Amino acid sequence: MSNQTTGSSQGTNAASRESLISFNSVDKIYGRDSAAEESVAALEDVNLDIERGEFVSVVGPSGCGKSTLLHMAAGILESTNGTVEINGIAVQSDEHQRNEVGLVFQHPVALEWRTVRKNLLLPVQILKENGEIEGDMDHYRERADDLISLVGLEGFESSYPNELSGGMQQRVTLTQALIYNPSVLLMDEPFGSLDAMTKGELNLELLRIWNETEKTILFITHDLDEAVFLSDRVVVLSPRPGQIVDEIEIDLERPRSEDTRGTERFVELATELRQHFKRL
Amino acid sequence: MTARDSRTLGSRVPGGGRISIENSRLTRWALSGLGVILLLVFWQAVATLLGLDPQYFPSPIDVMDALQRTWPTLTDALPHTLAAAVVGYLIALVLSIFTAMVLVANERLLNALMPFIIGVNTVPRIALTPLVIYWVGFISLSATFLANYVMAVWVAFFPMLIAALDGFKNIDEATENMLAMYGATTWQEFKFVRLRKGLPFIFDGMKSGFILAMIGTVVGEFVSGTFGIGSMASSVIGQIAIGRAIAIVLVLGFISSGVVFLIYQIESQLIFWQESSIMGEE
Repeated sequence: MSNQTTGSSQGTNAASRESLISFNSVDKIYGRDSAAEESVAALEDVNLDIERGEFVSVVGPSGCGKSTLLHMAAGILESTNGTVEINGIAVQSDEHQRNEVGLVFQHPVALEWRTVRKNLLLPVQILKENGEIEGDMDHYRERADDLISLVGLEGFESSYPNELSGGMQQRVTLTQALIYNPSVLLMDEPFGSLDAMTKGELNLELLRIWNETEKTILFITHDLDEAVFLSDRVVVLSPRPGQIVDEIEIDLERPRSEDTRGTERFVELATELRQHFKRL
Repeated sequence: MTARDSRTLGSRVPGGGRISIENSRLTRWALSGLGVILLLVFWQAVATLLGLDPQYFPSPIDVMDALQRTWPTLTDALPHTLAAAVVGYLIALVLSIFTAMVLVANERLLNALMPFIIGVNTVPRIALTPLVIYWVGFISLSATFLANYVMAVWVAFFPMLIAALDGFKNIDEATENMLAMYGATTWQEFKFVRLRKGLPFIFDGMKSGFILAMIGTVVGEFVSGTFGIGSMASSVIGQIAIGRAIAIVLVLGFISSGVVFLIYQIESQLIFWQESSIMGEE
């Protein structure tokens, strides 16, 4: 496979294992194609390999290109140089399988005129019509009900988004990304707009779901504690143009609970991460 | 507590906030009625006390009297005018939505045509009425009445087109990203998102659009002299029968308000997830 031969300067051990998501020398420059706009380099020479089943967080100052990184993996943005591959297939190629990737957005994108269940089934409708996924609708309806109970939204299947709290809407967005069972889950500061309590609750729930569904998660956040609490590995980006300046292995025991945040090792790792931040 | 607060409360606690809503709605209706009555009384008082000539400055009672006398002719003329206005309006509506979809789906075409659309929307299209009548007459002299239909379309189309364009483009970045993420086609974008997100804009355009279609038709009749409310108004003004002219205008006003209210009712049924701006909270 081509991505295996690409020498990665960052991951010394990643090359030997199966990487599900890989960024190979990725640059992103905005506004290069139009003369009127000033071009802005958002990302520079990003090499990152994420193994199947791994939970990796990306942190960095605002405007460092965290979301850009994610949007390229989602196929919403194209890289200027280098390739982004999922399962060894370039995201921008025709062979790319959309059903392999789910994206949880920063803000809930539930459509106001659709009930929770119908919002959940929207990706299925689109992907099915375009022949990207198989299976009949009844199968996905059942799956929708399972997911609704997985994230604790029982009883709200027929509610409209404006009848739900922000935390509940974000749960809908999460289930929407899981409905067609992708192996990769991309999360763009999904809990950034929630209050601390709801956030803590959803963090735990996300770990539980991750454990149960065995997804590979790429998680963007600006909350360093959140990154440490959730991840196997935290990747630190520099200010624009974003470059990977460090990767920290989080060797905290799993399963993690609220108590994990109080352990010595947690504080140590969070402090280490914060130190890296001060140096930027 | 404001009406909006009580509304929110009402939806959360069934029965709890309801009474205050009914009260405030009743109060609003009562105030509106009172306003109309006071205005009529004032108008009647001015006309009577100053001893104004009813031929030039009719009082409300004179207008009612004129309405009664002109009613048979009015009911004869009304179907012609309404047919032209309603049919023209519906054609303009369908055309505007269809055109807006094509343009939003083809951004280059939209960019190329935008100056033209804005330009035509800005000119007083009503001023071109004689031209429209002339051209329609050029095609078929026996069907001059068709000019009234064309006038309704001509006057109502562009504002409704711009409303529909705004509506279909009313899509936030997150939703756009979501659609891109799932690889939605242009048609899917419309089917699942744009047609719904555009509704509030389209309905706003529909409300002013009907009033415009009515104006277009009436002015068309006014200028061409084909049988209808417009030509009727023009002839009574010629006879200096101001009472009758006001009566005719009032009837048209009632019809337009009725249709706008109907559109509003459909809107609030269809767009259940958000409040409409025109009527306030109910």
